[in-house]
Amino acid sequence: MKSFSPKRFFLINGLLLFLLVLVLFVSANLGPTGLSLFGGGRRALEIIKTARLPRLLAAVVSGAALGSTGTSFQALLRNPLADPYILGVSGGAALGAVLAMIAGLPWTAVISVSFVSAFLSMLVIYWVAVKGGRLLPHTLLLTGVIFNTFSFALIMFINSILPSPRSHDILFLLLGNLDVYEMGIVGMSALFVFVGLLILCIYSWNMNLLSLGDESAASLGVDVESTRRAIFFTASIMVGASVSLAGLIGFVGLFVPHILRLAIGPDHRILVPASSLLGAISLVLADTLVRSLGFRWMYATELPVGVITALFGAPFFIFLLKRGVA
Amino acid sequence: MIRLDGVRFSYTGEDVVSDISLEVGRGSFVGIMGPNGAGKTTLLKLIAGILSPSAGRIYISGVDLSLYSRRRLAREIAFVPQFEAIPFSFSAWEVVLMGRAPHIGRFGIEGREDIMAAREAMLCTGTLHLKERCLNELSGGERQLVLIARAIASGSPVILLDEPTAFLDIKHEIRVMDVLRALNDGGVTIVAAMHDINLAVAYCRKILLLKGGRVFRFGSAEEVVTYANLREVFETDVYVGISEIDGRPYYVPIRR
Repeated sequence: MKSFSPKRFFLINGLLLFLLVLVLFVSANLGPTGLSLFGGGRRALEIIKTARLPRLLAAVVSGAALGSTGTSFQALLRNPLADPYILGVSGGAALGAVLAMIAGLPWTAVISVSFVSAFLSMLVIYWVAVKGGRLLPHTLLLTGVIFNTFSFALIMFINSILPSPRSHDILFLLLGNLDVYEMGIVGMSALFVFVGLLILCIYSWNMNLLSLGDESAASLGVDVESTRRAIFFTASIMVGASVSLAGLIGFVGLFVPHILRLAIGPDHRILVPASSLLGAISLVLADTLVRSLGFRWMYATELPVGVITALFGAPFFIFLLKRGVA
Repeated sequence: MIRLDGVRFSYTGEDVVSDISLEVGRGSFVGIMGPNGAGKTTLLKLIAGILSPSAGRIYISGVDLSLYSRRRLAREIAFVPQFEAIPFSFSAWEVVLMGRAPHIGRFGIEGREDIMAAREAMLCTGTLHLKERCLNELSGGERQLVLIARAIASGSPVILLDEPTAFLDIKHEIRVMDVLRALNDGGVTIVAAMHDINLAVAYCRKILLLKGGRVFRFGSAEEVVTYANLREVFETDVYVGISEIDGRPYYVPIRR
C-alpha cells in the first residue's frame, strides 16, 4: 500500500469528487416523470430544481455524514465493526422523530425535534460514559448499545399502541428515506455536516495515532482525551443531522469505510474525506435506483432507500470478504 | 536527565508506586526489575507522562514534567509499550513514520526530514526490508524492532521500553538488546522494564530492583544481582553465580 502524500490525497479525493458530480448529473436527469435537461425545456428544469435537487442534496449530505462518521467511530472505538449508529445518538434522533410525528407536528418540525433529541442524547450518552474525565472506548460502546436498545424499545412500544397507518409511517421513518422537498432544511443539515467533516479532517491524523493505542498515541504527543471528545461530539452531531434528515439509512456507514480501507489503505488523512465522498456517491446511486424502481413497480409508496443500501451493500460486502481481500 | 523526587502513584487507594526517588543520568541504560506488580510498568508510564503522580515530582532535563506540553514531552521521551494489537492494517513504514508525530504539524503532512528520519530508524533496526509489510502480519520480534524504530524516528534522547523482549526467542531477544545497546552507545538514554535477569545483566549499565512499589536496590549488576537480593525480592530460592566469561553475575532457577 502506498503511503500518504498530498498528491495521493488530491488524486483519490479528486477522482471521487468527479464521480460524485457525474452520478449527480445522471441522477438529476432520471425520474418518474421521465423529464431531463435534454429537451425537457423549462418544465424539466423546474421539476429538477424543486423535486429532484433537494432530494439529491439530502442524499449527498446524509451519505457524506454516514461515510465519514462510520470511519471516525471505527477509529475512535478502535473497532472496525463500529458504524455511525453504534453510539446511540441515532436511537435518540429516531425517538425524537417518532414522538414529534405522533404529536402531529409538521414535517420540518419533526426534523428539528429529531435533531434536538439527537443532540440531547449525545449529552446524556457522554454523561453516562465519561468516568473521571475519561472517555473509554468500551464504556462508550456499551453505553451506546444500551441507549439504542432503550430508544428502540420505546419506539416499538409507541408503535404497538398506535393504529396501523401511523405505525407504517414509523416503519418508513426507521428504514430511512430521502423524501425531502424543502431546500432550507437540507441546507441546515448540509451546514452541520460540512463543518463537522472539516473538523474530522483536521483530526484525521490523530485518528491514525489513536489506532496505535492510547499509550502510544499519548507518548507521541496526542492529547488522547480531548481528541476522543472532539471526535465523539463532532461525529455525533453529524449523525444527528443525517438521521433527522433521512432516517436510519443502514449499512452505508459500515461498508464505505471497509471498502475504502481495502482500496486505498488505512490512512485516515485520505480515508475521512474519501469516505464522505463515497458515502455520498453510494446514497445518490441507491436513491436513483429507488426512484426508478418506485416508478416501475409500485404506485402507492416508494421503497425506503435504507432497504436498497442494505440489500445491495450486504452481498457486495460478502463478495469482497469471500475473495479474501477484507 | 530524569529525576524522581518522592513519587507516589495509586490507581485506587493503594499505592502501586510509593515514595520513589532516584536519578537516571544522561546516557544511562537502566533495567527495571522486580516481581509482577512491583510497579515497573507504572513507573515507566509516570516517566512517560502517561500517568501523573499522586505525590512527588518528576524532572526531565531539570524541568518539572507537569510543565511540559504533551508534544514537547514527546520530543524528550519516546515510549515503547507492551504489545497492543492495531485494529487497522497500517504498514511498518506508516507506523515508523508516525514516530515523527511530535515534530509534525496539525495536519500531519510529513516532510523530507521526517521521511529521512524514519528511513534511518528502520535501517539501524534492520527492518527496512519490512517497510511495506502490514505491522499485524509481522512476527513478534520483527514487530518489536519496528516499534523501536518508531521510537528512534522520534529523535527523542530518552527511550522507555516496557518489557521489550517479552515473548521473543533468543535470536530476537539478542537482536533487540543489541539495537538498544548500540543506541545507548550513541548517547540515547534507555530505561527498560525487564524480566530476564541474565539479559538485563548482560546489557544494562545499571539495574533498578523494585519491591512493592519501592526502590529495593539501584546500582550496578554486581551490586544488585546477588543471591540475597533476589531471594528477598522474588521470595524464591535461585542460584546466583559469577560468569567465567565476563565476571558478571548470572542466575539459574532451582527446582523445589
